[in-house]
Amino acid sequence: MDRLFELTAFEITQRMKNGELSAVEYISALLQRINDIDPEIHAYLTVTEDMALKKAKEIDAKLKRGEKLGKLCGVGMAVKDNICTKDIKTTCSSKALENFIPPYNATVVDFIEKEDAIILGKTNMDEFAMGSSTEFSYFGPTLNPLDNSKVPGGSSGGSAAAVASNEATVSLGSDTGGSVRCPASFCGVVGLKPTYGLVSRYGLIAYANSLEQISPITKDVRDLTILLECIIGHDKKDSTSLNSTKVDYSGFLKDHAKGLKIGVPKQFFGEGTDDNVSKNVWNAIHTMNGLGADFDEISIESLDYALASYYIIAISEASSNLARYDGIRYGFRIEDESQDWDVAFSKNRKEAFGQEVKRRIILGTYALSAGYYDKYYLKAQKVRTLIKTDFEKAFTQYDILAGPTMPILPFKLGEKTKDPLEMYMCDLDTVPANLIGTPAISIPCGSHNDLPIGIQFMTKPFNEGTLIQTSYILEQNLKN
Amino acid sequence: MKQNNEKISKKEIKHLSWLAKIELSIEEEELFSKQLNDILSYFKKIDEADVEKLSPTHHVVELINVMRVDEPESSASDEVLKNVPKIKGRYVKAPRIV
Amino acid sequence: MTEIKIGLEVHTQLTNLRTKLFCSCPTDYRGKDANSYVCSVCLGLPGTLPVLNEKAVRDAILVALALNSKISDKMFFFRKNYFYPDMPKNFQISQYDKAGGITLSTGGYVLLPEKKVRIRRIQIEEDPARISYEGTIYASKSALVDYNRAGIALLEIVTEPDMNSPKEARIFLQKLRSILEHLEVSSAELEGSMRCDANISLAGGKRVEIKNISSFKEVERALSFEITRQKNLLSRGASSAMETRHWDELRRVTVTLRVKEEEQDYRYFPEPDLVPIAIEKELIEKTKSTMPELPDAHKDRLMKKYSISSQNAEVLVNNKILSDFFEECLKSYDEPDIISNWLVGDLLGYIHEKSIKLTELKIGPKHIVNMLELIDDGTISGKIAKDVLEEMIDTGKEPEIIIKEKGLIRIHSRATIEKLADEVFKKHSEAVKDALKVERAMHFLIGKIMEMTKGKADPELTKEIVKDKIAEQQKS
Repeated sequence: MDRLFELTAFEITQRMKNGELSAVEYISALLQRINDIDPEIHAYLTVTEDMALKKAKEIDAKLKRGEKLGKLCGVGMAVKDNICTKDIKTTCSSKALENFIPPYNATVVDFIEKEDAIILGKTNMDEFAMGSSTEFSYFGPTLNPLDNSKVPGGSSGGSAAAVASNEATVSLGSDTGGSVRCPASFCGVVGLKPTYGLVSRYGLIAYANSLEQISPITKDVRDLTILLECIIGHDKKDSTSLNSTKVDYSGFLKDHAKGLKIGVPKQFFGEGTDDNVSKNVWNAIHTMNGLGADFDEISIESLDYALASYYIIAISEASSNLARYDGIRYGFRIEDESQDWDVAFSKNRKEAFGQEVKRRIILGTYALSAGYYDKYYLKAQKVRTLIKTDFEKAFTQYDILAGPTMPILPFKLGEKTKDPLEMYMCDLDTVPANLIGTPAISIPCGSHNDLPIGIQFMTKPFNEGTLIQTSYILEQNLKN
Repeated sequence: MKQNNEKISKKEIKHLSWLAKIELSIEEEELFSKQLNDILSYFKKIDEADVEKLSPTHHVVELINVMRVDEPESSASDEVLKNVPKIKGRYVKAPRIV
Repeated sequence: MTEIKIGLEVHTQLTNLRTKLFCSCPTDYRGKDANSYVCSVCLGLPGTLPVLNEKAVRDAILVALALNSKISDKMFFFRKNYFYPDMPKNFQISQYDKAGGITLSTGGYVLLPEKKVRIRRIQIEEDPARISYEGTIYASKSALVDYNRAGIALLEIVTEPDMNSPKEARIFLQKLRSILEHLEVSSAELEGSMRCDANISLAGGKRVEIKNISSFKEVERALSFEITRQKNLLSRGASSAMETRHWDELRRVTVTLRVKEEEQDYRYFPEPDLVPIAIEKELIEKTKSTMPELPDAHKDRLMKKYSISSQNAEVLVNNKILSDFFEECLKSYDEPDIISNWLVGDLLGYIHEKSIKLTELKIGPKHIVNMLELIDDGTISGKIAKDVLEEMIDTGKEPEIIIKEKGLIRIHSRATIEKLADEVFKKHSEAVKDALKVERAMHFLIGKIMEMTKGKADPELTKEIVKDKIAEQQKS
């Protein structure tokens, strides 16, 4: 008997539509898998067992009646815990929201439910999406399924680990500075951050609104096309949501790379990049070359400023986005309130937030304050323009820019939690795509000591198809 | 706050703690004092960038005039109040204001 | 003469909108249960996003045009970051005129009879929630928050410090209110729909901001108090600090807000969840073409068309509901002076006395017209009509019904009055003697008859009868 939890979404949907597979059987297998290994991995914070089985029964009934089913027919999905799910606890891995039950669904959740996906539960993350290792969760870390002593990456560590360990067939995360690509790379799965504005942010609990997008995580590129098609689309509840024409991403699952021009910015291989990472990524680039793609080493100097610019903007927006957590309308509330409101608020938030979150809020408050706004926030936004211009230029000459997703291999738990800057440096290669709003993907391209290494492809806005084409060819080729 | 120092002083950290409404312990003030200055030193990298003449990118989407029609929609207000920790009748309770 | 400079920051709700500024909650929250017009967005639930109300922009453009303000080609929304229990997100989505921000409009003016008050800028922003207390603010252990008002669209209108007296400030506010009512974008009659902060400096000294002024009447009081306070300081050789003071309506004083250890800093930055709004010329022209008649033009028209006094016209225009009422009355009773006098004098006076709002008026033009017709046909006297008017306002009943119920019908019967006259003449023989000598003394006798009938006797007829009787007596 197949280990049903190892199947891809494509395989699942095919078998279900052919009447070869019962949703209940498949979902039960996934739930059992979660039961078996999640006590160790800790990818999930909430498992919605009853709801999932109920939905599975409905899907089986629909199949029996011969009704048409959605594109994600019965597929078991894990959802990052900063994406609102109606009547299901949504905590952002924070004490601040430990008992928050949203009265509404994120628009993306409505979309995937309409396509008959089945939500298995909510996954662990760095608190309020601030982190690159999922070690900053109020509920404890998630472990890397490939090596339990290592981190799974972050902040969508739970979502990536769930897919990597077959505790979910696909998952949704969010990517603000690499939060989906990083764990995808560290867990050996596929993660893509779409063009900013393609996917609705309504219901994504904000960390840095001008930078983030809900992003899919899958086992392979084909599954990615299925999930991506389902989550993009205009949302009138999100003023930054684009009216995009429907794209059939599966049309990009081609078998050739002829004519593809790849640029390789040397800044992506800068100081601090692990030799083994470098080696594996270059191997992949050479493989692409062998498959018909051309490549050039290029230099984008403004990349030197990307990380600083990203962090200044992200923490500034975060300091404002997280101001609402005062415990009045929802969330954690201290018992004793014998003092005035401002003292009560301060004591409440002291207890509600973890240290990394506090750090970013305090520094973000500083970056926006009178006398410093021009020097930090405004300047960072200007640097953003510079980087955007440089990339636009690069994209006129190259279809794809390539480099490592992460400069280092998955690191040990506790290794980088002492020094904030050390942790921030992990995001060097992923932040540019968020700063300029362009799509980027991470796919596994090799490993070292069984630790996965991801290659990142970037392209111009709305050109997800080319990312898919490039990734697919490489993926298929690396399989052989 | 003066712009003389390149560093954040303990006094400024206290002020930021007040502005952000997050009470910090003495240890946290101590720790943040060091860490935030380290991070700020890294942020100073952007001083090297020649961007004075550029306009800032506040939005990466090039949308304008996104608006909605002035048509009321009812919403289940009881649903929306379900998470309120302290409620009195139909009022949301907040700590006192003097 | 101490130089006084007063500037005002007026916040007015766009009460004609059916939904809030950034969500589709209804706006007619007054009198409804607390927290019944709220949704995930205006409560600031995590993950929610604002979407701008397009009619709010159009209404705002109308106001900017009426105030002669220059409308920006493009405007942005900014976040004003501060904590307070009435703030659902602990930041307000507003507009800013620095750091690259552009508000709805800049410049402009309002013409008062004696001067021009310049506008500095107009901006669009959201209203916070309402706070109330269990008992008094001082004794209450907690604050009670009602988010029905949170997210309602506000216009902030900031003036230059062009006003030189509390009276001027009040006149400015009345004119502004009238303009907004004529535009039909903001009804000041609705409780809490127009609020105001004032800035004042004396003799070139530091500027003091006065907050928490709940009504326009209070503005004049607060400013007067503050002038006195500052003059006292000056006379002692001291001067006021640059500070924010709070108007205490009960004690009628301004108090310094608790001396803060820390300085507020709003950390304005562009709202990432909203995109820029380009205000095209066509939209402005289209909106201009829908501009209703404004107060100055309205006043001119009333005076020209109906030849009523400038004073009456001014009052009618300041209370648009009343001028609409006035013109409606004229449709069935063509006496502009009479009607305007009744409305401006008696009706307005009475409802002010009883704190009744024009929007709550139980009577309509028909009531007034009927009343006037009853005076004309002699059923009641002008004096009695005043009582009838008050009763109508109190109860909403038709004048005929009130007259019947209260037995206010005038006595027309000659026989009845003659009989009463005889009684009076008998009782007041001395007065009769006086009246025989001096005609003017008849008034005493007429007065006595009127007294006996509680004013119901037809005065003309009574006068005639008394005259006749005196004449008779003279003959004999």
